[in-house]
Amino acid sequence: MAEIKLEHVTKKFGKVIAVDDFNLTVKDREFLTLVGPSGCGKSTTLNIIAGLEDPSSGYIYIDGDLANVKHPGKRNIAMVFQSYALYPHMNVFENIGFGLRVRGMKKDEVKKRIEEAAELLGIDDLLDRKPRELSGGQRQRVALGRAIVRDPAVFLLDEPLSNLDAKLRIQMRADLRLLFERLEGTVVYVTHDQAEAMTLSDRLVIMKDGLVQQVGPPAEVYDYPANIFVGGFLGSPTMNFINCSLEKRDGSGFLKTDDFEIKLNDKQISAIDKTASSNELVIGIRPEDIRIGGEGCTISCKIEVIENMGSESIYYFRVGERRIVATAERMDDSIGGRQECRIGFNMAKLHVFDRKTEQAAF
Amino acid sequence: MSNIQNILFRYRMKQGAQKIIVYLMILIIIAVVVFPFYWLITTSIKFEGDMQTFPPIFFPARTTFQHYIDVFVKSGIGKNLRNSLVVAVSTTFLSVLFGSLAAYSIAKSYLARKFRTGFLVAVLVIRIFPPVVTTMPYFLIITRLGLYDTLISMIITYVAYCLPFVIWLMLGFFQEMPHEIEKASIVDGCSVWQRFYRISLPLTLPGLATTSVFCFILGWNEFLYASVLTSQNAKTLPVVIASYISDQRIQWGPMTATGVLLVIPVLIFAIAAQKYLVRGLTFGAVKG
Repeated sequence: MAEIKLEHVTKKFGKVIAVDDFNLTVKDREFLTLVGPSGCGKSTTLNIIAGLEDPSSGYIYIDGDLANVKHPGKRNIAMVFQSYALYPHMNVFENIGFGLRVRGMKKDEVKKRIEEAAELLGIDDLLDRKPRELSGGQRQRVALGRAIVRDPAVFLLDEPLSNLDAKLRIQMRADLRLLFERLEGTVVYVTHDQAEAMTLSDRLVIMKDGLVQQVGPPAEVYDYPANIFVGGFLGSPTMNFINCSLEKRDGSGFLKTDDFEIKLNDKQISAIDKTASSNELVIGIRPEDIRIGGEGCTISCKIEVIENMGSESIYYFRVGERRIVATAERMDDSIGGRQECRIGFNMAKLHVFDRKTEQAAF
Repeated sequence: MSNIQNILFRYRMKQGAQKIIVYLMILIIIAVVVFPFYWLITTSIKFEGDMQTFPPIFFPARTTFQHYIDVFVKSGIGKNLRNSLVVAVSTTFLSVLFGSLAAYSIAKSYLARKFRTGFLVAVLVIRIFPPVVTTMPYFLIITRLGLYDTLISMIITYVAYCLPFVIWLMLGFFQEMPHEIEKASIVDGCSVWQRFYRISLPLTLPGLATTSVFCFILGWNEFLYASVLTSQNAKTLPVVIASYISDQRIQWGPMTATGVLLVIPVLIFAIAAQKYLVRGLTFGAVKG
């Protein structure tokens, strides 16, 4: 297995900067995910690691060796594509073994490896079939098999679950995690689905417009987003953002909005003073960190819509001119639409961002 | 209810009438297309006296294969048949091979779009000139090269004529191939040549079939260059057919027998390739 290092990697397509000064080390046997919206540069970065794109500048090292000058076939990597990219004119057996045959491996060894991989993936009864005779999930397993048989140093996966239906995607997520734990591979995974990124990864790299926004373990990035983009990108339903301003009076600090105000503690005020460029701020609060009713709930609101999701419900509140979304366990059906109620924020989970720079104060 | 039944009845009658008209039109078109071949075959087995009667004999009561015997045995057409086969097969093989390679490199290269378009236009210009315009220049070049009355002269000429069509059609097929399949083969370690013949070519069989049939038909049927560039040794079947027409008479019997011989290989080739032909022909009309 291998460590991957990217140093000052930039990729330009004409005037468009797809990847901007990307620096990252992927540790040996780490499962790292590049996540972000479409067009953020994550697939381009993956293609650069694979050698399918040349960087405009910067260096790529795989297992200590400079990879810039190496053909993709010589980098000891295997890749799984979004559309699986199975060869339509070959059957499953031939698809899985193609890379080995190109490298001149003996037939017996090729057969052995294919059969082992097929058994691991549960596709040993599909070896005679052509790709068009397979379901989406089966094709995906064949694509994984093609990668596994090569026994590469690095696995690169480009949104391999995006073409599957929702139910199968969730099932395959768990299977993928188990598979790569078993293979003990270094994995670089690309997805736009933040749920996939959160569940699969040892570390996340969140990207936007070619730039890295934050790098860290899923829990850390979720609990301590570096900026408004990261806060809003991770989590579903998305984080609530409320414009506010810092007001200091009577020795205390308050976050004041048009409809309510929140008292801050000294530590929070100190964090804002250190990082914020002005008093114009943004409150960030996740839906699950909002309390509905009960002691300490001081923000008056009206329930607009309740979405019953089964084990929990999503509540849409109207607070003045804005909408705030909260999630909670399903309450009894006596709470309905258009009811007046009060909500409160879990202050330990409150986030505050600088409105101008969008960076997190805390 | 009776009103609904009336409406349904009139609708079905209208559909039935439309179907009859459509089938009639199809029959007429088939008859127009097939009739020349039918007339060719029946004339080739008629006696001389039955060939130019009025009214024409559509269903000959008496037949003979003497014309075929005359053509094969007395005229020794075997050499001309061999010439036609060699020229057609070589033209097909070389045109499809080099045309596919050219199309693949154009499709996959990193050339700027402007340069690529200019190159393709230059390639297409070759086909704009009517063959008769370039016949004399070709004759002069071929004779200067000492290739007059050789199969090579025709193969070179026909390949030059077929390449633009092959390049344009195959280019569309290569461009249609999903990029990710190409990328997968690169990651699997394929060289450019391996990507071409192990991945891209098998996926473009419809294009190969269409261009092969087209090149074979051209190489097999072409008359103008064959008549100018050959005399005895390299004469092909179309030239032989033309030789049955003289200022004194037209030898309908041997001519039609040779015509039947001319049609059969192309027919067999087209039948063998028909599985891919429809896709190749309709696709080629859109991309390029």
